[in-house]
Amino acid sequence: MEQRGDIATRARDGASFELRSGQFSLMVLAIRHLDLLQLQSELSDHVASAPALLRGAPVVLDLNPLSQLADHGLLRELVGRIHQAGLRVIAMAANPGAEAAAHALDLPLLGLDRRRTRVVDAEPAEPVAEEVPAADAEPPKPPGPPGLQPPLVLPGPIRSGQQVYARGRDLIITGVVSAGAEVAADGCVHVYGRLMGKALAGASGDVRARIYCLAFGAEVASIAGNFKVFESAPRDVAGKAVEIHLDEGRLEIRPLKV
Amino acid sequence: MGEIIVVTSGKGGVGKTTTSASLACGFAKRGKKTVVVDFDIGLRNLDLIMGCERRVVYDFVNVINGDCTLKQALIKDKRFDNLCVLAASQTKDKDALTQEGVAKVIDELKAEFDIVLADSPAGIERGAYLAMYFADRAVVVVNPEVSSVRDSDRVLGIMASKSRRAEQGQGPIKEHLLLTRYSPERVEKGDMMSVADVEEILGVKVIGVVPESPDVLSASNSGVPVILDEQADAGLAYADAVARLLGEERPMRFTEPKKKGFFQRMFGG
Repeated sequence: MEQRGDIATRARDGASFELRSGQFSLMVLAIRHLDLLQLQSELSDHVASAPALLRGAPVVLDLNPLSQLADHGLLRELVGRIHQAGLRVIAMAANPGAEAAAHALDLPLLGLDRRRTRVVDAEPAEPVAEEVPAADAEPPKPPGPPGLQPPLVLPGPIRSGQQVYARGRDLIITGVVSAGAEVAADGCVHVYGRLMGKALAGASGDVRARIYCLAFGAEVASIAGNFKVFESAPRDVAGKAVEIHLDEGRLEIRPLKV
Repeated sequence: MGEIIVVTSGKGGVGKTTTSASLACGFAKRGKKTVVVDFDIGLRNLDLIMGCERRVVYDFVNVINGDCTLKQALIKDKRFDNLCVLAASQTKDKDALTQEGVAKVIDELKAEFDIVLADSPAGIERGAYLAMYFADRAVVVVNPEVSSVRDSDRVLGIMASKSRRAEQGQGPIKEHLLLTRYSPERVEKGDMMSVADVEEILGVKVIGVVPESPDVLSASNSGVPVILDEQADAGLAYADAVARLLGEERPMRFTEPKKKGFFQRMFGG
Protein backbone atom coordinates (compact mmCIF):
# COMPACT_ATOMS: atom_id res chain seq x y z
CA MET A 1 0.00 0.00 0.00
CA GLU A 2 1.38 3.39 -0.85
CA GLN A 3 0.10 6.42 0.89
CA ARG A 4 0.43 9.95 -0.19
CA GLY A 5 2.59 12.31 1.80
CA ASP A 6 4.57 9.79 3.81
CA ILE A 7 7.41 11.68 5.32
CA ALA A 8 10.76 10.86 3.78
CA THR A 9 13.03 13.39 5.37
CA ARG A 10 12.00 15.66 8.15
CA ALA A 11 14.01 18.82 8.60
CA ARG A 12 15.04 19.80 12.08
CA ASP A 13 12.19 21.03 14.31
CA GLY A 14 11.84 24.74 13.80
CA ALA A 15 13.50 24.72 10.38
CA SER A 16 11.93 26.92 7.74
CA PHE A 17 11.03 24.00 5.50
CA GLU A 18 10.15 20.37 5.48
CA LEU A 19 11.12 18.12 2.60
CA ARG A 20 8.67 15.33 2.09
CA SER A 21 7.93 12.77 -0.52
CA GLY A 22 4.45 13.10 -1.93
CA GLN A 23 2.56 11.16 -4.51
CA PHE A 24 0.08 12.94 -6.67
CA SER A 25 -2.09 11.50 -9.32
CA LEU A 26 -1.84 13.55 -12.48
CA MET A 27 -3.73 13.48 -15.70
CA VAL A 28 -1.77 12.53 -18.77
CA LEU A 29 -2.65 14.32 -21.96
CA ALA A 30 -1.78 11.97 -24.79
CA ILE A 31 -1.77 13.63 -28.18
CA ARG A 32 -3.08 11.41 -30.95
CA HIS A 33 -3.12 13.78 -33.91
CA LEU A 34 -0.97 16.82 -34.19
CA ASP A 35 -3.72 18.98 -35.67
CA LEU A 36 -3.39 22.05 -33.49
CA LEU A 37 -6.67 23.74 -34.37
CA GLN A 38 -8.72 20.59 -33.95
CA LEU A 39 -6.91 19.81 -30.73
CA GLN A 40 -7.52 23.22 -29.23
CA SER A 41 -11.23 23.24 -30.04
CA GLU A 42 -11.83 19.68 -28.84
CA LEU A 43 -9.83 20.27 -25.71
CA SER A 44 -11.67 23.53 -24.96
CA ASP A 45 -15.00 21.71 -25.28
CA HIS A 46 -13.77 18.97 -22.98
CA VAL A 47 -12.61 21.44 -20.35
CA ALA A 48 -15.91 23.32 -20.60
CA SER A 49 -17.80 20.09 -19.95
CA ALA A 50 -16.20 19.71 -16.49
CA PRO A 51 -14.70 23.09 -15.62
CA ALA A 52 -14.51 22.50 -11.87
CA LEU A 53 -12.25 19.53 -12.39
CA LEU A 54 -10.35 20.48 -15.51
CA ARG A 55 -9.90 24.25 -15.66
CA GLY A 56 -6.32 25.02 -14.79
CA ALA A 57 -5.62 21.35 -14.08
CA PRO A 58 -2.00 20.27 -14.35
CA VAL A 59 -1.32 17.66 -17.00
CA VAL A 60 1.63 15.64 -18.16
CA LEU A 61 2.12 15.85 -21.89
CA ASP A 62 2.55 12.48 -23.57
CA LEU A 63 3.86 12.84 -27.09
CA ASN A 64 4.86 9.27 -27.55
CA PRO A 65 3.77 8.48 -31.11
CA LEU A 66 4.62 11.94 -32.35
CA SER A 67 7.78 12.81 -30.55
CA GLN A 68 10.19 12.44 -33.40
CA LEU A 69 7.93 14.18 -35.89
CA ALA A 70 7.54 17.45 -34.12
CA ASP A 71 10.00 20.31 -34.34
CA HIS A 72 10.43 22.48 -31.29
CA GLY A 73 8.57 25.46 -32.66
CA LEU A 74 5.56 23.25 -33.24
CA LEU A 75 5.86 21.84 -29.72
CA ARG A 76 5.88 25.30 -28.20
CA GLU A 77 2.82 26.16 -30.21
CA LEU A 78 1.16 22.93 -29.02
CA VAL A 79 1.80 23.76 -25.36
CA GLY A 80 0.45 27.27 -25.96
CA ARG A 81 -2.75 25.86 -27.45
CA ILE A 82 -3.19 23.49 -24.52
CA HIS A 83 -2.84 26.43 -22.13
CA GLN A 84 -5.39 28.40 -24.11
CA ALA A 85 -7.76 25.46 -23.87
CA GLY A 86 -7.49 25.71 -20.09
CA LEU A 87 -5.01 23.01 -19.05
CA ARG A 88 -1.48 23.54 -17.78
CA VAL A 89 1.34 21.39 -19.00
CA ILE A 90 3.69 20.89 -16.07
CA ALA A 91 5.88 18.07 -17.32
CA MET A 92 6.48 15.65 -20.16
CA ALA A 93 6.15 11.92 -20.07
CA ALA A 94 9.57 10.33 -20.30
CA ASN A 95 9.16 8.49 -23.58
CA PRO A 96 12.23 7.45 -25.52
CA GLY A 97 13.23 10.43 -27.58
CA ALA A 98 11.36 12.96 -25.46
CA GLU A 99 14.41 14.41 -23.75
CA ALA A 100 15.21 16.91 -26.48
CA ALA A 101 11.62 18.12 -26.63
CA ALA A 102 11.43 18.44 -22.85
CA HIS A 103 14.69 20.38 -22.85
CA ALA A 104 13.44 22.72 -25.53
CA LEU A 105 10.22 23.35 -23.63
CA ASP A 106 12.04 23.61 -20.30
CA LEU A 107 9.80 20.96 -18.75
CA PRO A 108 10.79 18.18 -16.37
CA LEU A 109 10.47 14.59 -17.55
CA LEU A 110 8.26 12.24 -15.57
CA GLY A 111 8.61 8.49 -15.94
CA LEU A 112 5.62 6.65 -17.34
CA ASP A 113 6.36 3.06 -16.65
CA ARG A 114 5.27 1.51 -19.92
CA ARG A 115 7.21 -1.69 -19.63
CA ARG A 116 4.57 -3.01 -17.30
CA THR A 117 1.44 -1.49 -18.70
CA ARG A 118 1.89 -2.11 -22.41
CA VAL A 119 0.44 0.32 -24.85
CA VAL A 120 -2.99 -0.62 -25.94
CA ASP A 121 -3.76 1.34 -29.03
CA ALA A 122 -2.68 -1.01 -31.75
CA GLU A 123 -0.29 1.20 -33.67
CA PRO A 124 2.23 -1.35 -34.77
CA ALA A 125 4.43 1.23 -36.47
CA GLU A 126 5.67 2.44 -33.10
CA PRO A 127 7.31 -0.31 -31.12
CA VAL A 128 9.42 2.38 -29.42
CA ALA A 129 7.30 2.47 -26.32
CA GLU A 130 8.13 -1.11 -25.44
CA GLU A 131 11.85 -0.51 -25.48
CA VAL A 132 13.56 -0.77 -22.16
CA PRO A 133 16.37 1.71 -21.59
CA ALA A 134 19.47 -0.30 -20.77
CA ALA A 135 20.37 1.77 -17.72
CA ASP A 136 17.08 0.98 -16.07
CA ALA A 137 17.04 -2.80 -16.32
CA GLU A 138 14.48 -4.74 -14.27
CA PRO A 139 15.54 -7.07 -11.48
CA PRO A 140 15.18 -10.76 -12.37
CA LYS A 141 11.59 -11.90 -12.19
CA PRO A 142 10.37 -14.93 -10.31
CA PRO A 143 9.41 -17.85 -12.53
CA GLY A 144 5.95 -17.66 -14.07
CA PRO A 145 4.35 -16.67 -17.32
CA PRO A 146 6.40 -13.84 -18.84
CA GLY A 147 5.07 -10.36 -18.20
CA LEU A 148 2.52 -11.45 -15.63
CA GLN A 149 2.54 -9.30 -12.50
CA PRO A 150 0.70 -10.74 -9.51
CA PRO A 151 -2.19 -8.53 -8.40
CA LEU A 152 -1.99 -6.43 -5.27
CA VAL A 153 -4.48 -8.04 -2.88
CA LEU A 154 -5.57 -6.04 0.15
CA PRO A 155 -8.20 -6.79 2.76
CA GLY A 156 -10.78 -4.07 3.24
CA PRO A 157 -11.94 -1.79 4.50
CA ILE A 158 -10.03 0.93 2.66
CA ARG A 159 -11.10 3.91 4.71
CA SER A 160 -11.71 7.57 4.06
CA GLY A 161 -8.44 9.35 3.32
CA GLN A 162 -6.51 6.20 2.44
CA GLN A 163 -5.02 5.78 -0.99
CA VAL A 164 -3.96 2.57 -2.61
CA TYR A 165 -2.12 2.29 -5.90
CA ALA A 166 -1.22 -0.98 -7.58
CA ARG A 167 1.62 -0.05 -9.90
CA GLY A 168 1.75 -2.06 -13.08
CA ARG A 169 -0.83 -4.62 -11.96
CA ASP A 170 -4.37 -5.33 -10.92
CA LEU A 171 -5.76 -4.35 -7.55
CA ILE A 172 -8.05 -6.62 -5.59
CA ILE A 173 -9.76 -5.32 -2.45
CA THR A 174 -11.56 -7.95 -0.39
CA GLY A 175 -13.80 -5.56 1.47
CA VAL A 176 -15.34 -2.13 1.44
CA VAL A 177 -13.89 1.03 -0.11
CA SER A 178 -15.29 3.88 2.00
CA ALA A 179 -16.38 7.28 0.79
CA GLY A 180 -13.33 9.51 0.56
CA ALA A 181 -10.92 6.63 -0.11
CA GLU A 182 -9.07 6.22 -3.41
CA VAL A 183 -8.14 2.94 -5.05
CA ALA A 184 -6.09 2.99 -8.22
CA ALA A 185 -4.31 0.48 -10.41
CA ASP A 186 -2.52 0.44 -13.72
CA GLY A 187 -4.57 -2.68 -14.41
CA CYS A 188 -8.10 -3.56 -13.32
CA VAL A 189 -9.67 -2.68 -9.97
CA HIS A 190 -11.77 -5.34 -8.25
CA VAL A 191 -13.71 -4.52 -5.10
CA TYR A 192 -15.39 -7.41 -3.30
CA GLY A 193 -17.57 -5.13 -1.23
CA ARG A 194 -19.22 -1.74 -1.51
CA LEU A 195 -17.35 0.80 -3.59
CA MET A 196 -18.16 4.24 -2.17
CA GLY A 197 -14.90 6.11 -2.85
CA LYS A 198 -12.93 6.82 -6.00
CA ALA A 199 -11.77 4.03 -8.27
CA LEU A 200 -9.20 4.52 -11.04
CA ALA A 201 -8.29 1.69 -13.38
CA GLY A 202 -5.75 1.92 -16.17
CA ALA A 203 -4.02 4.69 -14.27
CA SER A 204 -1.15 4.77 -16.76
CA GLY A 205 -3.40 4.86 -19.75
CA ASP A 206 -4.51 1.28 -20.39
CA VAL A 207 -7.95 1.73 -21.91
CA ARG A 208 -8.70 -2.00 -21.58
CA ALA A 209 -8.63 -1.83 -17.79
CA ARG A 210 -11.95 -2.32 -16.02
CA ILE A 211 -13.50 -1.74 -12.62
CA TYR A 212 -15.61 -4.33 -10.85
CA CYS A 213 -17.45 -4.03 -7.56
CA LEU A 214 -20.13 -5.89 -5.64
CA ALA A 215 -22.16 -2.81 -4.75
CA PHE A 216 -21.75 0.37 -6.73
CA GLY A 217 -21.83 3.77 -5.06
CA ALA A 218 -18.56 5.33 -6.26
CA GLU A 219 -17.92 9.07 -6.08
CA VAL A 220 -15.67 8.95 -9.11
CA ALA A 221 -14.81 6.19 -11.56
CA SER A 222 -12.01 6.55 -14.06
CA ILE A 223 -10.47 4.37 -16.70
CA ALA A 224 -7.32 5.56 -18.45
CA GLY A 225 -8.14 9.12 -17.43
CA ASN A 226 -11.73 9.01 -18.75
CA PHE A 227 -13.65 9.73 -15.63
CA LYS A 228 -17.16 10.29 -14.44
CA VAL A 229 -18.23 12.04 -11.27
CA PHE A 230 -21.33 10.65 -9.60
CA GLU A 231 -23.19 13.07 -7.37
CA SER A 232 -25.47 10.14 -6.75
CA ALA A 233 -25.22 6.69 -8.24
CA PRO A 234 -27.49 6.17 -11.28
CA ARG A 235 -30.61 4.42 -10.11
CA ASP A 236 -30.28 1.39 -12.36
CA VAL A 237 -26.85 0.48 -10.96
CA ALA A 238 -26.88 1.94 -7.43
CA GLY A 239 -25.94 -0.70 -4.90
CA LYS A 240 -25.59 -3.35 -7.60
CA ALA A 241 -22.67 -5.44 -8.71
CA VAL A 242 -21.31 -3.69 -11.78
CA GLU A 243 -18.61 -3.74 -14.38
CA ILE A 244 -17.23 -0.43 -15.65
CA HIS A 245 -15.37 -0.32 -18.94
CA LEU A 246 -14.48 2.10 -21.70
CA ASP A 247 -16.51 2.02 -24.86
CA GLU A 248 -14.92 4.29 -27.45
CA GLY A 249 -13.74 6.71 -24.80
CA ARG A 250 -17.04 6.67 -22.92
CA LEU A 251 -17.33 5.18 -19.49
CA GLU A 252 -19.99 2.47 -19.49
CA ILE A 253 -21.44 0.99 -16.32
CA ARG A 254 -23.46 -2.14 -16.57
CA PRO A 255 -24.91 -4.40 -13.89
CA LEU A 256 -23.25 -7.79 -13.66
CA LYS A 257 -25.73 -10.58 -14.09
CA VAL A 258 -24.51 -13.25 -11.73
CA MET B 1 0.74 -5.64 32.07
CA GLY B 2 -2.21 -3.34 31.63
CA GLU B 3 -4.18 -2.64 28.53
CA ILE B 4 -4.16 0.69 26.73
CA ILE B 5 -7.54 1.82 25.42
CA VAL B 6 -7.79 5.00 23.37
CA VAL B 7 -11.01 6.99 23.22
CA THR B 8 -10.99 8.83 19.93
CA SER B 9 -13.26 10.14 17.16
CA GLY B 10 -11.64 12.51 14.70
CA LYS B 11 -14.49 14.98 14.98
CA GLY B 12 -14.75 17.31 17.94
CA GLY B 13 -17.67 17.65 20.29
CA VAL B 14 -18.96 14.09 19.93
CA GLY B 15 -18.36 13.15 23.57
CA LYS B 16 -14.83 11.76 23.83
CA THR B 17 -14.00 13.28 27.18
CA THR B 18 -17.45 12.51 28.63
CA THR B 19 -16.96 8.94 27.47
CA SER B 20 -13.39 8.69 28.81
CA ALA B 21 -14.50 9.92 32.22
CA SER B 22 -17.45 7.55 32.40
CA LEU B 23 -15.52 4.52 31.16
CA ALA B 24 -12.73 5.27 33.64
CA CYS B 25 -15.17 5.40 36.56
CA GLY B 26 -16.92 2.30 35.23
CA PHE B 27 -13.72 0.27 35.07
CA ALA B 28 -12.69 1.46 38.53
CA LYS B 29 -16.10 0.53 39.92
CA ARG B 30 -15.64 -2.93 38.49
CA GLY B 31 -12.42 -3.26 40.48
CA LYS B 32 -9.91 -2.51 37.72
CA LYS B 33 -6.96 -0.34 38.63
CA THR B 34 -7.49 2.45 36.13
CA VAL B 35 -5.78 5.63 34.99
CA VAL B 36 -7.24 8.09 32.51
CA VAL B 37 -4.84 10.35 30.61
CA ASP B 38 -5.80 13.63 28.94
CA PHE B 39 -3.96 13.98 25.62
CA ASP B 40 -5.63 17.28 24.74
CA ILE B 41 -2.62 19.43 25.54
CA GLY B 42 -3.55 23.10 25.76
CA LEU B 43 -7.29 22.45 26.11
CA ARG B 44 -7.40 20.65 29.42
CA ASN B 45 -10.95 19.38 30.06
CA LEU B 46 -10.88 15.88 31.48
CA ASP B 47 -10.04 17.12 35.00
CA LEU B 48 -13.21 19.25 34.95
CA ILE B 49 -15.44 16.34 33.95
CA MET B 50 -13.74 14.17 36.56
CA GLY B 51 -14.19 16.89 39.18
CA CYS B 52 -10.53 17.20 40.16
CA GLU B 53 -9.63 20.46 38.41
CA ARG B 54 -8.56 22.21 41.60
CA ARG B 55 -6.10 19.50 42.48
CA VAL B 56 -4.01 19.62 39.29
CA VAL B 57 -0.47 20.54 40.32
CA TYR B 58 1.66 18.71 37.79
CA ASP B 59 0.52 17.51 34.40
CA PHE B 60 1.40 15.14 31.55
CA VAL B 61 3.89 17.58 29.99
CA ASN B 62 5.64 18.12 33.34
CA VAL B 63 6.18 14.37 33.57
CA ILE B 64 7.54 14.18 30.02
CA ASN B 65 9.88 17.11 30.67
CA GLY B 66 11.10 15.54 33.90
CA ASP B 67 9.83 18.39 36.11
CA CYS B 68 8.23 15.84 38.42
CA THR B 69 7.79 12.11 38.82
CA LEU B 70 4.80 10.30 37.38
CA LYS B 71 3.57 9.56 40.91
CA GLN B 72 3.51 13.26 41.76
CA ALA B 73 1.41 14.06 38.70
CA LEU B 74 -1.20 11.33 39.16
CA ILE B 75 -4.34 12.71 40.83
CA LYS B 76 -6.21 10.18 42.93
CA ASP B 77 -9.96 10.17 42.44
CA LYS B 78 -11.96 10.93 45.58
CA ARG B 79 -14.66 8.36 44.81
CA PHE B 80 -12.51 5.38 43.81
CA ASP B 81 -9.09 4.78 45.31
CA ASN B 82 -8.15 2.55 42.34
CA LEU B 83 -8.68 5.41 39.87
CA CYS B 84 -6.20 8.11 38.87
CA VAL B 85 -6.22 11.05 36.46
CA LEU B 86 -3.24 12.40 34.55
CA ALA B 87 -4.22 15.89 33.46
CA ALA B 88 -3.14 17.65 30.29
CA SER B 89 -1.17 20.86 30.38
CA GLN B 90 -3.22 24.00 29.93
CA THR B 91 -0.26 26.26 29.15
CA LYS B 92 1.76 24.23 26.66
CA ASP B 93 0.70 23.19 23.18
CA LYS B 94 0.56 19.85 21.44
CA ASP B 95 4.18 20.03 20.30
CA ALA B 96 5.21 19.48 23.91
CA LEU B 97 4.35 15.81 23.41
CA THR B 98 7.20 13.76 21.99
CA GLN B 99 6.84 10.17 20.89
CA GLU B 100 9.66 8.99 23.16
CA GLY B 101 8.30 10.94 26.12
CA VAL B 102 4.78 9.59 25.68
CA ALA B 103 6.13 6.04 25.19
CA LYS B 104 8.01 6.25 28.47
CA VAL B 105 5.01 7.52 30.44
CA ILE B 106 2.60 5.05 28.81
CA ASP B 107 4.86 2.08 29.49
CA GLU B 108 5.28 3.15 33.09
CA LEU B 109 1.49 3.45 33.49
CA LYS B 110 0.97 0.12 31.77
CA ALA B 111 3.17 -1.59 34.35
CA GLU B 112 1.24 -0.02 37.21
CA PHE B 113 -2.41 -0.10 36.09
CA ASP B 114 -4.84 -2.68 34.66
CA ILE B 115 -6.34 -0.19 32.27
CA VAL B 116 -4.82 2.96 30.78
CA LEU B 117 -7.48 5.10 29.08
CA ALA B 118 -6.15 7.67 26.63
CA ASP B 119 -8.56 10.55 26.05
CA SER B 120 -7.65 11.75 22.56
CA PRO B 121 -8.08 15.32 21.34
CA ALA B 122 -10.15 15.94 18.22
CA GLY B 123 -8.43 16.03 14.86
CA ILE B 124 -5.66 13.85 13.49
CA GLU B 125 -2.66 15.86 14.56
CA ARG B 126 0.10 14.99 16.95
CA GLY B 127 -1.92 14.70 20.16
CA ALA B 128 -4.52 12.46 18.55
CA TYR B 129 -1.87 10.46 16.72
CA LEU B 130 0.14 9.82 19.88
CA ALA B 131 -2.99 8.92 21.86
CA MET B 132 -3.84 6.17 19.37
CA TYR B 133 -0.31 5.10 18.49
CA PHE B 134 0.27 3.06 21.67
CA ALA B 135 -3.25 1.65 22.01
CA ASP B 136 -4.20 -2.02 22.23
CA ARG B 137 -7.87 -1.24 21.82
CA ALA B 138 -9.83 1.73 20.55
CA VAL B 139 -13.24 3.05 21.43
CA VAL B 140 -14.27 5.27 18.54
CA VAL B 141 -16.97 7.68 19.68
CA VAL B 142 -19.46 8.41 16.90
CA ASN B 143 -22.54 10.59 16.66
CA PRO B 144 -25.17 9.22 14.31
CA GLU B 145 -24.61 11.82 11.59
CA VAL B 146 -22.62 11.82 8.37
CA SER B 147 -19.68 14.05 9.23
CA SER B 148 -18.93 12.23 12.46
CA VAL B 149 -19.13 8.89 10.64
CA ARG B 150 -16.81 10.12 7.89
CA ASP B 151 -14.24 11.36 10.42
CA SER B 152 -14.41 8.10 12.33
CA ASP B 153 -13.75 6.21 9.12
CA ARG B 154 -10.65 8.34 8.59
CA VAL B 155 -9.44 7.74 12.14
CA LEU B 156 -10.01 3.99 11.85
CA GLY B 157 -7.93 4.04 8.67
CA ILE B 158 -5.06 5.90 10.31
CA MET B 159 -5.19 3.55 13.27
CA ALA B 160 -4.96 0.51 11.03
CA SER B 161 -1.76 1.70 9.38
CA LYS B 162 0.04 3.69 12.06
CA SER B 163 0.16 2.10 15.47
CA ARG B 164 2.86 0.59 17.63
CA ARG B 165 1.04 -2.75 17.45
CA ALA B 166 1.05 -2.64 13.64
CA GLU B 167 4.73 -1.66 13.53
CA GLN B 168 5.75 -4.39 15.97
CA GLY B 169 3.66 -7.01 14.18
CA GLN B 170 1.36 -7.60 17.13
CA GLY B 171 -1.78 -7.49 15.01
CA PRO B 172 -4.15 -4.59 14.62
CA ILE B 173 -5.71 -2.44 17.33
CA LYS B 174 -9.04 -3.95 18.37
CA GLU B 175 -11.74 -1.50 17.32
CA HIS B 176 -15.09 -0.72 18.96
CA LEU B 177 -17.71 1.88 18.16
CA LEU B 178 -19.59 3.80 20.81
CA LEU B 179 -22.60 5.72 19.58
CA THR B 180 -23.44 8.82 21.60
CA ARG B 181 -26.23 11.39 21.33
CA TYR B 182 -28.50 8.66 19.98
CA SER B 183 -32.17 9.50 19.67
CA PRO B 184 -34.32 6.47 18.80
CA GLU B 185 -37.30 8.73 18.12
CA ARG B 186 -35.39 10.66 15.46
CA VAL B 187 -34.02 7.44 13.98
CA GLU B 188 -37.59 6.16 13.66
CA LYS B 189 -38.61 9.35 11.88
CA GLY B 190 -35.72 8.83 9.50
CA ASP B 191 -33.77 11.99 10.29
CA MET B 192 -30.94 10.27 12.16
CA MET B 193 -28.72 7.35 11.18
CA SER B 194 -29.49 4.08 12.93
CA VAL B 195 -27.07 1.80 14.78
CA ALA B 196 -27.22 -0.59 11.82
CA ASP B 197 -26.45 2.21 9.32
CA VAL B 198 -23.35 3.27 11.23
CA GLU B 199 -22.18 -0.32 11.73
CA GLU B 200 -22.61 -1.03 8.05
CA ILE B 201 -20.71 2.04 6.84
CA LEU B 202 -17.83 1.63 9.25
CA GLY B 203 -17.73 -2.17 9.35
CA VAL B 204 -17.07 -2.17 13.10
CA LYS B 205 -19.31 -3.51 15.88
CA VAL B 206 -21.02 -1.12 18.27
CA ILE B 207 -20.03 -1.69 21.90
CA GLY B 208 -22.56 0.71 23.35
CA VAL B 209 -25.30 3.17 22.50
CA VAL B 210 -25.66 6.20 24.75
CA PRO B 211 -28.95 8.01 24.33
CA GLU B 212 -29.14 11.78 23.95
CA SER B 213 -29.93 13.05 27.42
CA PRO B 214 -29.81 16.28 29.44
CA ASP B 215 -28.33 14.23 32.30
CA VAL B 216 -25.00 14.13 30.45
CA LEU B 217 -24.58 17.91 30.44
CA SER B 218 -25.55 18.37 34.07
CA ALA B 219 -23.24 15.53 35.10
CA SER B 220 -20.35 17.10 33.19
CA ASN B 221 -20.98 20.51 34.72
CA SER B 222 -20.95 19.12 38.24
CA GLY B 223 -17.80 17.05 37.72
CA VAL B 224 -19.55 13.75 38.33
CA PRO B 225 -19.27 11.42 35.32
CA VAL B 226 -22.74 10.42 34.17
CA ILE B 227 -22.03 6.71 34.70
CA LEU B 228 -22.28 7.40 38.46
CA ASP B 229 -25.90 8.52 38.03
CA GLU B 230 -27.78 5.26 38.30
CA GLN B 231 -31.09 6.94 37.50
CA ALA B 232 -29.89 8.17 34.11
CA ASP B 233 -30.31 6.13 30.93
CA ALA B 234 -27.00 7.50 29.66
CA GLY B 235 -25.27 6.31 32.85
CA LEU B 236 -26.73 2.82 32.49
CA ALA B 237 -25.71 2.74 28.83
CA TYR B 238 -22.11 3.53 29.79
CA ALA B 239 -22.20 0.81 32.46
CA ASP B 240 -23.33 -1.64 29.78
CA ALA B 241 -20.49 -0.53 27.51
CA VAL B 242 -17.96 -1.09 30.31
CA ALA B 243 -19.34 -4.59 30.88
CA ARG B 244 -19.08 -5.37 27.16
CA LEU B 245 -15.52 -4.03 27.04
CA LEU B 246 -14.76 -6.46 29.88
CA GLY B 247 -16.11 -9.28 27.73
CA GLU B 248 -19.62 -9.67 29.11
CA GLU B 249 -22.72 -10.11 26.99
CA ARG B 250 -25.38 -7.45 27.52
CA PRO B 251 -28.46 -6.84 25.40
CA MET B 252 -28.59 -3.37 23.79
CA ARG B 253 -30.84 -0.91 25.60
CA PHE B 254 -32.13 2.55 24.72
CA THR B 255 -32.14 1.87 20.99
CA GLU B 256 -35.94 1.75 20.65
CA PRO B 257 -38.28 4.73 21.07
CA LYS B 258 -39.90 4.95 24.49
CA LYS B 259 -43.52 3.80 24.59
CA LYS B 260 -45.67 6.75 25.44
CA GLY B 261 -48.20 6.46 28.26
CA PHE B 262 -51.91 7.11 27.83
CA PHE B 263 -51.80 10.71 29.09
CA GLN B 264 -48.77 11.54 27.02
CA ARG B 265 -50.52 10.23 23.94
CA MET B 266 -53.59 12.28 24.77
CA PHE B 267 -51.88 15.52 25.64
CA GLY B 268 -48.52 15.23 23.90
CA GLY B 269 -45.17 15.62 25.59
